[in-house]
Amino acid sequence: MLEVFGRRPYLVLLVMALLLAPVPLLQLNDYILHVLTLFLIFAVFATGWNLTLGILGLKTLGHHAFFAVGAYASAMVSHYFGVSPWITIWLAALIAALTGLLIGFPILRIRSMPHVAIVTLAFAEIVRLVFANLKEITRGELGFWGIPPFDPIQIGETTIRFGLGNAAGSFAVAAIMFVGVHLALLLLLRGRCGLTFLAIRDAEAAAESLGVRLAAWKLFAFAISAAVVGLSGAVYAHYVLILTPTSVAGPEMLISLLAMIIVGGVGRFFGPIYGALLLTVTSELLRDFGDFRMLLYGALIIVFVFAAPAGIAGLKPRFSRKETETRKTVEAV
Amino acid sequence: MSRLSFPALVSAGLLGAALLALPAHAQEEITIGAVGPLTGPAANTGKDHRQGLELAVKDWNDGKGNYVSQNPPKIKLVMEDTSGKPEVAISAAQRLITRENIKMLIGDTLHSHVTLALMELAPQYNLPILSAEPVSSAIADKVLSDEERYQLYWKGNWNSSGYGTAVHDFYKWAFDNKTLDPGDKKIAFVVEDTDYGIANAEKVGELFKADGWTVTSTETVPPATTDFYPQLSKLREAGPDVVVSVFTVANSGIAFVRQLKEQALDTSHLAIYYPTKPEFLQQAADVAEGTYWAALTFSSELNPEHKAFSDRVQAEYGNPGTYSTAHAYCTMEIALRAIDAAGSTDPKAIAEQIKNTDHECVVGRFKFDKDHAVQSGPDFIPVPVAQIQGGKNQIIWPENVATSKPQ
Amino acid sequence: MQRNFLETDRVTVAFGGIVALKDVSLSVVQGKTTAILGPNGAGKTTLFNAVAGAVRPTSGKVYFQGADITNASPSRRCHAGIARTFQITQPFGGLSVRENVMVALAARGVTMKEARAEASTYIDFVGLNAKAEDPARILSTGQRKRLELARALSTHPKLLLLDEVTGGVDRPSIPELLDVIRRLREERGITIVVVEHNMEVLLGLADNAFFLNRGEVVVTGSVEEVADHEAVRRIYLGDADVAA
Repeated sequence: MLEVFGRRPYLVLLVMALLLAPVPLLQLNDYILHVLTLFLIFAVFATGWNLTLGILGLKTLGHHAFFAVGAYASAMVSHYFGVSPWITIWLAALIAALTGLLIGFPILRIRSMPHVAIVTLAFAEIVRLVFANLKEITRGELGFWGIPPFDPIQIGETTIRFGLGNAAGSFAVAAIMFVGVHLALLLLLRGRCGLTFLAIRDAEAAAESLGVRLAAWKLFAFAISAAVVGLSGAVYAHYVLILTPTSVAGPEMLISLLAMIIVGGVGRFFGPIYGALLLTVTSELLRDFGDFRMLLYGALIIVFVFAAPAGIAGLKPRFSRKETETRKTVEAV
Repeated sequence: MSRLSFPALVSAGLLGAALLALPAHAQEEITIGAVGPLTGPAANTGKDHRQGLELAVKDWNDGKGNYVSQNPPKIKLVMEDTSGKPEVAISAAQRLITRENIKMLIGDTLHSHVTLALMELAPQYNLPILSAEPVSSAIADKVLSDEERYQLYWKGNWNSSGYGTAVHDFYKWAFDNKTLDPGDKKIAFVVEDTDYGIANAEKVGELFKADGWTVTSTETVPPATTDFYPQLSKLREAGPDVVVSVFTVANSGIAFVRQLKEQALDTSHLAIYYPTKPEFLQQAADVAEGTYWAALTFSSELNPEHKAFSDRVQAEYGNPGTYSTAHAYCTMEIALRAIDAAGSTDPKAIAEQIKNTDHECVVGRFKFDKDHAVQSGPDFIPVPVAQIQGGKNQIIWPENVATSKPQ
Repeated sequence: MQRNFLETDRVTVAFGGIVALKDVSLSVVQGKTTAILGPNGAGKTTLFNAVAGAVRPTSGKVYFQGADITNASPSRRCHAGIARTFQITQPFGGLSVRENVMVALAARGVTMKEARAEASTYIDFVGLNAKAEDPARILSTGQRKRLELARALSTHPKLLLLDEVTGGVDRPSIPELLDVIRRLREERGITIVVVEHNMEVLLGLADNAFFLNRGEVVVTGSVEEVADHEAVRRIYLGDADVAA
């Protein structure tokens, strides 16, 4: 599990948390906080997707559907029933998990990866069409608005507000979700779960012959993965406050998230985080280049894929002795 | 050092770069921001918007503007890309707000759903926001749901119901002056399965029903469909007096008109949107003769004013102007005149002046309604109905802009 | 009816129109090592997979310790006491050797801490201590075969199915590997079914043998009898001599 988590995953997460903690106090402008908030939301999204894509090794291409399910579920329950978003986001994660189980069942029967990819892709398209056509309750492509932001929190004299334009509060919510989700996943994956997922990824038949109940574990992975992605979708909904089927479940979402996971490192626990950071932040930094922005953005992705085929998380410094030894062994064999 | 040090360095570097990006120093002139889809599927339209906005600012700064005061302020325009996504549009707008210190935002220039997100920024940042081409009536609904909150937001285009009203009013006019025969008062729709298609069908149907008509059927087909025989055989059975079709893909429209002609249905046909595409007339002129369509909002062939504008764009940028270029130009003019009239950059004063706008521009007369949207109709922004006559487009309604009589 | 430790009762396996096994009945006695022999394409691996659960018979039954396991999943067979190795080794490449062995223990519900400790026993047994913390991806073929033995051992098997144990292994490593297999039976009392090409290896390893040709059992008996059988010599040893 070393190559998935690195040597000290808890320390890495702690450093990340310590880097994030002072950010709301730095008096940064809203633009920077907004970009960092998006990074955190997409990092959780990408990590959740990586669970099935990289860690379980199933080539699922439809997780933007769970993002949409989570986003719409939380938005609609809070809008129509007046339930606080602090509660509905968990409901959204649960609904996304159930949706994950729903698509997980047919996936179990499919052995060929291209077919898994096609089925999940088609599933996402179905979800998009359903949200687009349930016009009475989602308003379709006209956009679902009237989503309440998270309820304000009163701490002593200060009131923390959330939603668009309340940058510090929104950043704090995203940061807490980011650290919380990654901590929970580390606790889960560093144990039996991670061991079993990786065994299934590397040699499914062998894992099954060793007593691993494939169906149960795969469904479990689907549910957890969908729940994480659904939670990130719900937080997105209560931050951006507008949803359209195309903007949350469209092909562009699929492409940008896959790019984050691939650039960061498929199957590396921290990979998607680096990928989300790189792509979210640079796409904004590149605004200084005007018309060349998207060209440079595309070029950057290509450079990273060539220079770091295993992703940013797979980059190894040359002077690490242990790694050099390992490489020699490989050559000897 | 641990093996994670390299990724950590990359991350730290990126964070650092993001944090150190300093705001640009204040400008003497007034900066207006704009956000629109400069990349992605709608990039073509976004490019037109940029040209229109830039041209209006250029004219204004060069002393060729349509000024309100004697001493108009100098304006700087900064436009950012949204890629057509709401969250990216918010990044772009917040960058403009914090780094360019903009006093007003034009946005979104195209997408309604992006506008629904952007308008939240008006109360949060106390910033006047004027959207350009978005038409969704959801935007106006949102304004009406909380007028106090959205007092700084204005919508520079008419509501999506504008098409429906125009189609209904045209037919009513044609029936009243006996150009067309209402027959058994039956209407049918063949529309693409998008909000655009369905919303138009619903609006037209609703208005016709109020006049005692029956809607015999509303057939929806996936976008880009080219086989309409199943739908046409249903129409043959129902025998409607008016058929309205809505497609955004020209090929669908061409196929529909061709197959409708083959089936020789005895009905009046009105097409929405697809005849605005030049390739429609190029490929279907033989079968489309006599087809009514909406809306011929911009035509350099028929309208000398449109031609003059298009030629200016051609001279400036090397491509002809479109409705989008012209509309963006007009939207910017409204913004410039409001700032000029307000005499300051006070957001409330600017919003008040936008509200008071009554401005004649190349695409029509801009006047805002109570729902903060520009009004459409013969007296405001015309939504003209055209007919293909002798292989050419002619405006036949409303009468005050008509270039020909219906045939 | 009293059944043998492992029995297949007229097992037929057909893939589309191709019949890979035809009415194969085989029985394995507890505590003995049984070899399945046959030329390439005889159906050895298919039979093996039918016992391990990776292939479902088209008709016929499979019994283990008297219970019908014909339709049990591989993981259920594992819990019943059947373990296997693979002809083409299937290590969990991204996991260390120790973690590879821990997978089955975790599946049985042992805590991670206990699993880590227990894994050492099996790694010791197959002699991979020096490699315990290395990723399985970098092991040589012989080491991978031993890793699979350790993994199989960690399931506490009663029956161990070994598919081509010496296949692809360099000659100097073979005796060491065979020694491990012999100790499995002697020290742990595990019943072994082995598919193997190398007759020399088999004579030193197996008690009984079944000879398969074109999906059918041709000869049965002690491994020496089968090796000496005329049909076997004609079909198989000739084949092997040519190959050697």
